[in-house]
Amino acid sequence: MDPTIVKSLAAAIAIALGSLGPGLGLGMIGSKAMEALGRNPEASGQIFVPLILSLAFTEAIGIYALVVALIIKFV
Amino acid sequence: MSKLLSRKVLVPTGLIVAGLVVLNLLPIPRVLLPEIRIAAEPVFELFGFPITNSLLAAWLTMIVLIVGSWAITRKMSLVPGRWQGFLELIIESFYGLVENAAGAKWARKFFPIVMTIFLFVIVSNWMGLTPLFGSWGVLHPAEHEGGHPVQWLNDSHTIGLWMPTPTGEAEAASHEKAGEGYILVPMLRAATTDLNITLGLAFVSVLLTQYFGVRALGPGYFGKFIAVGRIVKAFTRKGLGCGGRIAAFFMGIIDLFIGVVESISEIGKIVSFSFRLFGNIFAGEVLLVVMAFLIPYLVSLPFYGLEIFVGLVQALVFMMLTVAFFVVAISHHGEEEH
Repeated sequence: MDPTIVKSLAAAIAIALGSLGPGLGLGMIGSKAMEALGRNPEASGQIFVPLILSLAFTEAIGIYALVVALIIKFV
Repeated sequence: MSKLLSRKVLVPTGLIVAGLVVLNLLPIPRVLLPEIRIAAEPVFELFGFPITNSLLAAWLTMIVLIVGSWAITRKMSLVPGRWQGFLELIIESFYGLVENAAGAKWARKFFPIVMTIFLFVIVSNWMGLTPLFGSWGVLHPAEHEGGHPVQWLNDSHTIGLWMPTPTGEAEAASHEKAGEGYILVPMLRAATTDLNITLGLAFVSVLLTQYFGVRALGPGYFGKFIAVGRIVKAFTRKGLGCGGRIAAFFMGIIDLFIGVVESISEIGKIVSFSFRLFGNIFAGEVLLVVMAFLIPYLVSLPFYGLEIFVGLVQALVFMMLTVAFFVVAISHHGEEEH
């Protein structure tokens, strides 16, 4: 195959597979946070910071895949 | 199902589809897809050092922050005016956030650093989204094929404009003039879309984590990384039998291993800090450009709103993660009580 085609395919596969896991993880974190909020609405202040932190850690994995895809495609 | 087919859903969908069809049929100029590059481009040289466009934007961010805060706090009054009140609102709410996480004593020490990081990151994120920010610069002839035709505004061919071509003719034109294409090197590019700058921020954050750890716990802070405390204790502690000493020795070896893992995670922090910020902001700008290219003019507006939100969240995440790591560093990791 043509190298440019392989490059595009590789970037697409990298971001597609790489965003699967973080997507699932983000959904889980969000659903649990909503559940906690529903049980105890007064705790929203205490939930917020750990929520943001865990979202950031999970999202970072997706960003690694994104950076790899960008490097494959544009470098 | 009936809700999906109701007028509320069908009318906007129909409008969007009709709009797309009309947009593609009309001979309106297409939006050009600029050259996307991960590395920041040098725009000129200063004393032999190449000055990149992201460095220029970083300087501009600093100027905006310094001049802005000087102008707002120049005439401080007890009853704040509009701008002073705005700034006080921001600072006070963030101080509360940091105080919540770190406690009153350490919040005073952490706050100036993390707030500076936050302000720098958010101003440079939003600066990159400002209209006309990254859309002017120096035109270079394209080396390989690609690039776009240019309409010169003066005779000496120094000032030019992209020549937008109507739909359908764009591809033909780019193939015809493969040798005559020009690429634009923007004069400014948001500071956080350069990996070097985010790496620098991450480095500062992690080094300061070590500094605060040492300041709070003394040299014993490094016991977290070189965890020989329990092995030494296995041999020196009185009243342990032979079996007890062996058990304590193996627990010490586990500690040693955990110390190595801690050191690696310290390096991992730098990587994840820098890649998270760079990846989010750079990908956001690429997304806006590609969306404007695929479906011109209006479709990139919702994404623009999304990018404004992402810029705020990423600045907040960088700041709160820094605070969280500071707090972990200053807290004791109770190894003495066993």
